[in-house]
Amino acid sequence: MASISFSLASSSANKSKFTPRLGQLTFRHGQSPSQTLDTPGFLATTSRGVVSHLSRDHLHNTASVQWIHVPFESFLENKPPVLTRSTGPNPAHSFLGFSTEKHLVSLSVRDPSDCAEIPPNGKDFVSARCVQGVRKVTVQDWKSYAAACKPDIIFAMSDTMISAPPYSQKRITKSIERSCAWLLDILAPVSSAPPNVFVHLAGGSSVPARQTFSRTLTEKVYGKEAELVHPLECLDDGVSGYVFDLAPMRAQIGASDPYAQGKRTGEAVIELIQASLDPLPDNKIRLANSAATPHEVLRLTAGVGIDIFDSHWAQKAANIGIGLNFTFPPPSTATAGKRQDLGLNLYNNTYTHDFSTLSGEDSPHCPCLTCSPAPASSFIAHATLDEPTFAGPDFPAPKGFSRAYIHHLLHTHEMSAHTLLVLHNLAVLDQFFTDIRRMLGGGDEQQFHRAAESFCQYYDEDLAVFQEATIMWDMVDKARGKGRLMRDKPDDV
Amino acid sequence: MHFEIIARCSTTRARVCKMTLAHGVTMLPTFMPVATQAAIKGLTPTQVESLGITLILNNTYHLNLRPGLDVLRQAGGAHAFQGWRRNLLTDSGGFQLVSLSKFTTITEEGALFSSPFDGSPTMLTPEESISIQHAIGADIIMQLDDVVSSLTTGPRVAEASRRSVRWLDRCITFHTSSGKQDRQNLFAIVQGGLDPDLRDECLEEMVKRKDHVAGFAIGGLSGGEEKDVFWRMISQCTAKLPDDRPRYSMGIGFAEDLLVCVALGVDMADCVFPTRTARFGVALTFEGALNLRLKKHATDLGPIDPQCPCPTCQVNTSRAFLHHTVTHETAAAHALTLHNLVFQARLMGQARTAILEDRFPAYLKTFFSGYYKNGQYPEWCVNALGSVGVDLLEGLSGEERNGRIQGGRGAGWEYASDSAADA
Ligand SMILES: [Zn+2]
Ligand SMILES: [Zn+2]
Repeated sequence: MASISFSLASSSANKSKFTPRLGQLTFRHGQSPSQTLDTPGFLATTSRGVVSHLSRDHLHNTASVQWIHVPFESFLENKPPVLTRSTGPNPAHSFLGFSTEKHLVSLSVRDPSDCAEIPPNGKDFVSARCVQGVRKVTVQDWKSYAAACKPDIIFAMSDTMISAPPYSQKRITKSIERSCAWLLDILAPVSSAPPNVFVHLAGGSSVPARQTFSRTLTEKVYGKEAELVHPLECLDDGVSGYVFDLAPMRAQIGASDPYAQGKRTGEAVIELIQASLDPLPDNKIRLANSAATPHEVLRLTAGVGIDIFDSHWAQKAANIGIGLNFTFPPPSTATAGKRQDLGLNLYNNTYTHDFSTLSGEDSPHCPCLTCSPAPASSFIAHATLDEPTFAGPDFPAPKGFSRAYIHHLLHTHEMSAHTLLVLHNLAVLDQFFTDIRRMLGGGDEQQFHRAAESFCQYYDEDLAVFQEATIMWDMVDKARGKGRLMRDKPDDV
Repeated sequence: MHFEIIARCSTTRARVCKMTLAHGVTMLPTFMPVATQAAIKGLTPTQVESLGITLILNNTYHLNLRPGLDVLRQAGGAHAFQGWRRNLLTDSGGFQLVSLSKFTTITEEGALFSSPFDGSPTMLTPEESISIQHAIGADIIMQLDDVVSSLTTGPRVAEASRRSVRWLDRCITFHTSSGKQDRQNLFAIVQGGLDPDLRDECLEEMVKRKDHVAGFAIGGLSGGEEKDVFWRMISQCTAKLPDDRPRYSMGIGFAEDLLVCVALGVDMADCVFPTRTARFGVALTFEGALNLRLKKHATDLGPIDPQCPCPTCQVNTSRAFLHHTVTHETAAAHALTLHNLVFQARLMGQARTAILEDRFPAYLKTFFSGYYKNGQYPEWCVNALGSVGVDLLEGLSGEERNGRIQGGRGAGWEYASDSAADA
């Protein structure tokens, strides 16, 4: 487990609660050197504990990934969950192959992007999903999993309403009460509680309910509760960060078009988040899961000062063959007519003969392993005589992979396509946040707001290029068979 | 090509050679991973290179369809297209044509097939195959041969064998006139089916053309024939092939097959098996293959092989983690592909060291006793190695020997049909 601290830049402190802010997260595992993560920044999401398409060596060579979030539910298919069998000072890190030198690992019960129908939660359990179906996770289960896995950050269980609205007042009240009770349970007793607990700010799509939940966190606890969480004065004292799951929030608000959600719900989401943050102190990390577009990232940075966003949308873009190539601020102010795409749909035949890299020839240098592959730093020698193998003619420095090559890999259903795209998309996202921070650091907040505005004007937020790529991805998938891994029949072994 | 024999086993026909091509040195014997579509499944060329792999294979048939020759020419060849800096071999495209295309007719001119794009009749001639391989730019290119299944019998086998010789002549003529011999090296493919006389005839004819070819492949095998026939054919070929040319056994990838072939004098082999089987959750080890889909691995926190220098085992990726992710996450396939390629490279690298130190027979014995933990050796391996002076069951009486010999592929495998596999 890492020790973690978060501080806001002096320029960001003492300002209005809902302005964009700069901060720094510092963490350190044991004797490892301490690491800093600048905010606004991002965390990478995982599927079954894996940053999709990245082998461990690739993940370790991806400088942009510092914080990795692991939804626990895929591990529920076995009892006890295999992740809890891992041992050592950082069991989740060691089982999943994350580095204690580089990676901060957080754990939640559920995948925050999954809003599919699921049986309702109970009084003391959350319904979660694994490949074998729905599993109940009780507060006690969650505490024991947290104790066994020792993630750096744990999200308290939350009674998130996933079924379609409207919700009765009674249901909303129950959601708030359960979420509070479950937070208290994970904090008590304080002597054995996980050190870094994040709380999902509950209250659904109701402004008063959100205010109520947040106020409850800051109210002084009395009686039995006070005994349980002694020496905490209030629940919020035991909380290190606030989480907003945008996916269920959008569902609660009622937007149905997945590609318009970011835009359409922008104002409403901001109002709800402000309602939650209003009663709470400013000095804690604010994390938003499942932002759908960089536009939404900018709005949430500008409107409520979110510090950390997940990269789910950019990773998903790599799944469907999109290589991101947007910049912040945009290259120019928008002109009337078609808005620009956020990335390239590499399925498109326009890339068949395009030998430029994903970042393009005239864009700034992209440091990712796709655009700027590094030569192998070492070779495995398999025989005493292998040394001459590694010398030989002067090997040219590796060149960036071309759009034509990635296009070819996509159409031939080769897994490497997605590896190359994930590596690149994470680097583009990293650059995006670097540019956001640089602009905020310039001291002219209005400049940031203007740039964000022109970004939203310049780039298409309806994600037409994503829709087009999804259709082509689907066509290749059908033509080629059952998906990347199971295309051929298994061997008879 | 510069080809140099560095060491010979004093017992078997195994040898260590240094093959220098336009993209560096490859030490032989070696196993060549297959990058059918110009990518080793899920890996980047840098990763493959760092595994100590210096020679991979691309499939001509596939690359000709996609991305197509225009793209490859514009890219400056397949090396540049896929970012592979080391040696590359391409097949002729003939084998895939026959096995993947339903309507192939072989005439003296070439292989006639219906285009996968528009169904129009298309001809792959020996000249066309070489021309395509020139555009791809591999360091080693293969002649177009007249492929028949190794289970075919009758006059068709003789026809195919003799035609392959005539097509070799056409490939030589075309390749010689291209002026590309300094960078691309043509290999002949010995045919002749499973008939020793036909094999001899084909061998003799092809060896006559030795001055115009850089190496020899042994074709027409690995198509489901009896293993006992397989090794005898390999042995017959390696006995008669010229010493100063590399020998390539096509489509061989199981560890025991590789080591027997090396003992019989084979220098190179290729197979999709180690990368393909990785995608289905199988890890190759010196103690047999592990099927990581099996429930028994679900709680095993140890790596596949603690001795293994691959990037997967080196960071202690556990069997339990692989069990959790295989067939769900591409990253699990990457992890196993990295491991399996290193296993193949270790198997062959350790053979090179053993030959160099003239202890190859001992290496064979150690390998077989570790790989077949139940002590039961495939009969054909015992016989094949016996033919070159290595008795795997040395010192055992007749009765004891019989108890240690079995038919079939042998042990060392965890079967997926195990009822726990899908649990
Ligand atoms: Zn890039
Ligand atoms: Zn390994």
